[in-house]
Amino acid sequence: MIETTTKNEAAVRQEELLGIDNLNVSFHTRRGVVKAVRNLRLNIKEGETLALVGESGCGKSVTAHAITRLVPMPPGVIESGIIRFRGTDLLKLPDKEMRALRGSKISMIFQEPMTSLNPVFTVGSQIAEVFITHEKLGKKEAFAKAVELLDLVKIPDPGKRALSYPHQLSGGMRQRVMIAMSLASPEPGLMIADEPTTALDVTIQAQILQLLTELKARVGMALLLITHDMGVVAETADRVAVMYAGHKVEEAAVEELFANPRHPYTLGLLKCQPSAPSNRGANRLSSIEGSVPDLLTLKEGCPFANRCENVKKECLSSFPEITRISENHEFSCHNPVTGSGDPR
Amino acid sequence: MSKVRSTTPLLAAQDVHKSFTIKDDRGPARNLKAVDGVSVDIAPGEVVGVVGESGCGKSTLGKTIIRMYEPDAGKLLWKGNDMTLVSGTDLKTIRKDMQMIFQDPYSSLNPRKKVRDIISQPLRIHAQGDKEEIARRTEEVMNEVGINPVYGRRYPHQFSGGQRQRIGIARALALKPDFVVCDEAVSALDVSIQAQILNLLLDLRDKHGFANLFISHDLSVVEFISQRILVMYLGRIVERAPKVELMKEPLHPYTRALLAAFPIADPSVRKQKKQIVVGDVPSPLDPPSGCHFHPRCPLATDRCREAYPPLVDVSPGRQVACWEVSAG
Repeated sequence: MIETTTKNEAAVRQEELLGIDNLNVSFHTRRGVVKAVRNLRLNIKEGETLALVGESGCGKSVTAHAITRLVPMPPGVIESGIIRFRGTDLLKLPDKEMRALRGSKISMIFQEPMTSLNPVFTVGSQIAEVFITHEKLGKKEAFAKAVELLDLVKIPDPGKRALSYPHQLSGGMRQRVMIAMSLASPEPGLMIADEPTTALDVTIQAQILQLLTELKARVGMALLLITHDMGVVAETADRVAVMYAGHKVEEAAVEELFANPRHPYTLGLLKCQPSAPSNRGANRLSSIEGSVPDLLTLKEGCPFANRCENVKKECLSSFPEITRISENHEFSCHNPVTGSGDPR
Repeated sequence: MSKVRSTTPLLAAQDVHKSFTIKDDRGPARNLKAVDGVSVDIAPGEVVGVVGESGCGKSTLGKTIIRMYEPDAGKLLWKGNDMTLVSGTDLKTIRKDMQMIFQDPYSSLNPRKKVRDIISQPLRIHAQGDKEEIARRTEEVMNEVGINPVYGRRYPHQFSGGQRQRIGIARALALKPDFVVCDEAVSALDVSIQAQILNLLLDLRDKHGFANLFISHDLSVVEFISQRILVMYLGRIVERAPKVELMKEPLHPYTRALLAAFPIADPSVRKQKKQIVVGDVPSPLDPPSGCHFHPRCPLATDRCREAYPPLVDVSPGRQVACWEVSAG
C-alpha cells in the first residue's frame, strides 16, 4: 500500500486531483442564512500540499466538510458548485459510493484526535476496521496491517501500542494513530488535515508536521492543510489559499505569497504575527483593526472593506473579480497592495 | 520600554513548591509536583515571560505566586514582606494590588452578569468609593480597554472573543494593580485580534506601569512582550535569561529544542531537516529521574540520569540548569 510512489513525479504534479468550482455553502439558521462559503474555486494537484488559511469563521473547515460531504444537513445546504475528485463530481455521487471513498481515497484528520477515536476500542482494532471494511481482509491480517501502519507513523513498540485504548496515549500519539488510520488504504489520494497540530505542544507539532511531510512524499498523496498558523503554512505548504468571511481572497505559491502578498488582508495577517520580521524590535505589533463581520448581516461588496486600509468606493458595492497576475498567483481585490509589499 | 530596575523586587518568590494530590478510581492517590522549587523575582514595571509546554507548571506558578494557590513550601515576598504569613484583611489589602487575566474569555466571565457589574465587582469588593465613584471608574477603565461604556448593560455573550478579553482586562485593571499575571491571555484569540490585545496590554502597561508575569506556550508572543524569559520543563526552571540573549543563543538543550520546533513564518528559510527533539513530554505524575529532560536530550550522560542539575549563573542575569552546559 505504501510502494505506489514510483510514478513519474513531474507528470503527477500536473494532474488535477481535486477541483472545486463555484462552491456555495450556507447554513439556514433561525436567525437567518449564513453564507459560509461563497463562489469558491480551488484545485489541488496530485501529491501537493495546499494550505487553506484564515481566521475563525472564514469557511475553511466548511470547505473541508463539503469535500467529504460531511456538512450537517440541515441546517447546511450546498447551494451550488462542483467538487471533482479525479474527474468524478463528488456532489453527485450516491451516498454508498461516497462512503466507499471516504476513509479510503479521501481521509480526514482533526484538531482533537480524542473526539475522533472511539474510546471503547483499542487503536489497533480501529485501524484494522478500515482494512476490514474497505478491503474485506480477515481480522488477523487486518490487525497485522494496523501494526505495520503504527510502525510507519513512528509509534514506538507498535505491537504493544496497538492494544492500547485512546485514553492511554498522549495527544501526539493519538494524532499519529489518526494519521495511520488515514493511510489505511490501498491508494490514498487526498488527506484533509483540519488544524492537525493546533492542540499539540510545539515540540510535538514539529514531529507531526515532519511526519506528515515525509509520509506524503512516500505514499504520494496530496494534503489539504487547514490552519490559522502562518508558521505552519510556511514550513509545510506548496501553495496557499487565504480565506476571509467565506471568500477566497488570495492564492499563490507559498514563497510568492509570503514575499509578494497583494491582498491587504494577506499582508495584514502576515504582519500581525509576533514573529514577523517587521515586528522585530518594534514597540507595538502591526495589527488589523476592527473585527470579522457578522456573516448574517453581510452586505454585497468586499467583506474586508470595514477593516481595510486600501478601501475604495467600489469595495462597498461589489465583490472584486479574480485578478490573475501569474500562473501561480491570483487575488480578489479592487485596490491591491502595490509594488513589493514584502512584509519581511 | 524598559524601566529602571529598583533594588527591592516587587515580588520575590523563593524556592516555591506546589503539588497536587491526584485521586482517581484506579490505584492509590498520587502526588503531582506541579511547581518544584522555583524562584523568581519581578521588579516594579517589569515583564517576565514564562514559556513551556503543557504540564510544565507555568500556570500553577502564576497562581501560586499570587496565592490563588497556597504554596506548600517557599517564601513569597511582596514588596519585601512575606505574604505567606498574612491573612484576613491584610491579605485582602495586598491582593488588591495583584490581578489575573485568564485564557478563556468565555468561561472567565460570569454569563449571568452585566458587563459593567463584572468590571466593577473588584471595586465593590475593595470598597473603592461610593456608587458614583465606582460607576465613574468603571466607565473610565472601559474606555481605556476600548469597550464603549454604553455597552455596559450587555451580557458577555453579546461580545466577540476579542471584546470579552478586553472586558477581562478591564476587570483586572479596575483597581490599578501593581502586578498582573496573564495566563495564556491571548492564546484563544485569532491572530489579528491577538495583535490588538497584545498592543492594548502594552499601551496600558506604559500608562500604568504595572509589572507583569506573562505565561504562554507561544514563544513568539512571550518574546515580543517580555524583558526576561523563564523556560520551564516539568515543574522546574531550566533556563532564565534576558529575552535577547535567550533568543539569540539558547543554552539549555530544551530551550534549543523549543526554539527549533517553533515554526518560522518564512518559507525561504524552510529547513530541509530540522533538528527535532524526539519523544513525548513525560507525565508530571512520574517525571524521569535526574534531569527531567534527559530521555529526550541529545547531550544526556549518566550524571544527567542520576542527579538533577542546579540552576547556576552563567552570565549576569542568566542561569541554566544543565550539567553539560554548565560544565562548559
